[in-house]
Amino acid sequence: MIRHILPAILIGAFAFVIFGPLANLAMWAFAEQWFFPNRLPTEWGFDFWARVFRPRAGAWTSLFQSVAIAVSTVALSIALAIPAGYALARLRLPARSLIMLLFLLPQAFPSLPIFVNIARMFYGMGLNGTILGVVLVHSLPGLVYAVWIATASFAAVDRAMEEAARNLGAGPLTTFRDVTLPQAFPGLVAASIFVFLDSIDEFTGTFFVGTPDVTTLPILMFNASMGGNYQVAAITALILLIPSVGFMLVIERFLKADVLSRIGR
Amino acid sequence: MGGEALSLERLAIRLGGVQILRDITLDVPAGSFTCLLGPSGCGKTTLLRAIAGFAPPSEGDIRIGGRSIAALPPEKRETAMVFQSYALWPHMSVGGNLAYPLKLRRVPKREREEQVARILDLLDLPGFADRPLASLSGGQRQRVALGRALIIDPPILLLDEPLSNLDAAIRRNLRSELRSLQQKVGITTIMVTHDQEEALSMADTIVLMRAGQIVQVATPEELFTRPADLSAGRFLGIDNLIRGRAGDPLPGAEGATLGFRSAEARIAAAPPAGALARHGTVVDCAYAGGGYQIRLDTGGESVSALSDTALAPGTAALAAVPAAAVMAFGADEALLPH
Repeated sequence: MIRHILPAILIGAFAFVIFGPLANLAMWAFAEQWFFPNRLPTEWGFDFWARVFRPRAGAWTSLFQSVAIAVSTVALSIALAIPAGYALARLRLPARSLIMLLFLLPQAFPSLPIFVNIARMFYGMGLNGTILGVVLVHSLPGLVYAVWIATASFAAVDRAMEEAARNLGAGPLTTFRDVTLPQAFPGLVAASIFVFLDSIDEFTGTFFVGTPDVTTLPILMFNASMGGNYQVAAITALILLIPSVGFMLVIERFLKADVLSRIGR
Repeated sequence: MGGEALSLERLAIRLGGVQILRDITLDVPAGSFTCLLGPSGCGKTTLLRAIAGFAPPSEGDIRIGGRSIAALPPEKRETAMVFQSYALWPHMSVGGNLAYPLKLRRVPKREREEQVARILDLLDLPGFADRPLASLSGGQRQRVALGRALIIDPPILLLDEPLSNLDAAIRRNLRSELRSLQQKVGITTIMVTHDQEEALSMADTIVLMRAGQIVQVATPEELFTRPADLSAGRFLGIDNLIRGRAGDPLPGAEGATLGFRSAEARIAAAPPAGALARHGTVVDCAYAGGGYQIRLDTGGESVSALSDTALAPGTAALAAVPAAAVMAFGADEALLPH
């Protein structure tokens, strides 16, 4: 009996740690009134949902901006990661590991000083408060995922398969298009998903470079909770969950273990 | 269909300061089956890759039917290669793999399908066009890889250890299948192998290589009975090496190194006329299927021979080899003339 109780308690505690905050979030999203001494909201309803999705509230604009920024970040990161990843995987650069490390460097430093400096530079270039500026800032961590995963997936492509295509009459570019790219495709999809998810809930960089002109969902959420409006923050958070969960499901389909195992090889 | 002659002229390859191949000169007649045979690391695969255009030569020339291809990129050479790993494209079906070279040559779809069906018939894989690669066995993949190379009707077919990933029984079948297919199509074929048995049973000509150089170019029979030197002989299964004595039934045997294969040596009661014979004591006796493999100590030398009966270690015995099966090598390790 004891043998079963202990794991049950552990699983229960684990579930509480994961789902407790989420349950709290869900309650806040549907609470009309919830003051301090009460354990549960005193009034339930959809009032705040209507308020969030009112045209003036900016939730739609934020959602649109967030998705547009995330998609552009994915496009930029993958466009750079395909040639970079292929070169790193294939051309046996002597400085290969150094370059890979270089890509990790922005992650190694505390992000605040980096973003503050980027914001300062962007002021000079007129990029502050623009979508492009935010996309560039999001591409900084985005490129790390994209290049590392792209390198791994290109390294996983058997060289003999490319040689076979060359041997049978395909030029280098045709070979890349018809053989290499389709083989690396699952890995690139996985990289896109990581970049997308990272961009969609990126906060610090957007805060320094984008506000007040660019208001992504995380910024909207931050503004709402700083203003004590937990309902709006909770609803925004729930909206943020939609792309995240959706893309997590896509990951499962596309990410193969053998691609993951080659990361950083 | 048909093949063209290939000739290599003083070909040399250097990779990263290491001389991989040196001074390779070879003529391969049109329609012949040539094996590049040698131990691993001898440069035979590099030579094949040089012909296909994947290893740039530092010196020398490669010609197909008279025109030089040494400066062409791989896709312009029309030297169809079957890779050791087959290198089939897993994101395409069997038919997709076979049709791809035709697609590159802008063959219309209808004609592509006809050709794929024809080549699948030739390979004894009818109706396999829509199958995914994952559903094929190793032998079937091997045949698809061969078909993908043959479908462009190339002047030269290059095979890089095509049978080494298959198990022994399939390998033996595919050997004769591959050989008869090659003769049917009449394509000039160059095959790399480290398996001497495979080379002997399949090739018209064997090119024996060692340390980046050609040691001997010969027919299988010639190579087997007259290897150019001692180490070529060892590679071709000569496992007994003894010092020649006066009175041995070979011209110039005294002082030479005599080599023969255990399979040719027998334990005999008395030395037959005209045979090389050695007395010794049994050191080791092992059952070898149908007979016993006996190892004798013949006064500081070791001789292996076959026997019909088991012999206890320590007994005295006589090993005899017909003189025709013995090869004599001189002090410079080169084979002495008969």
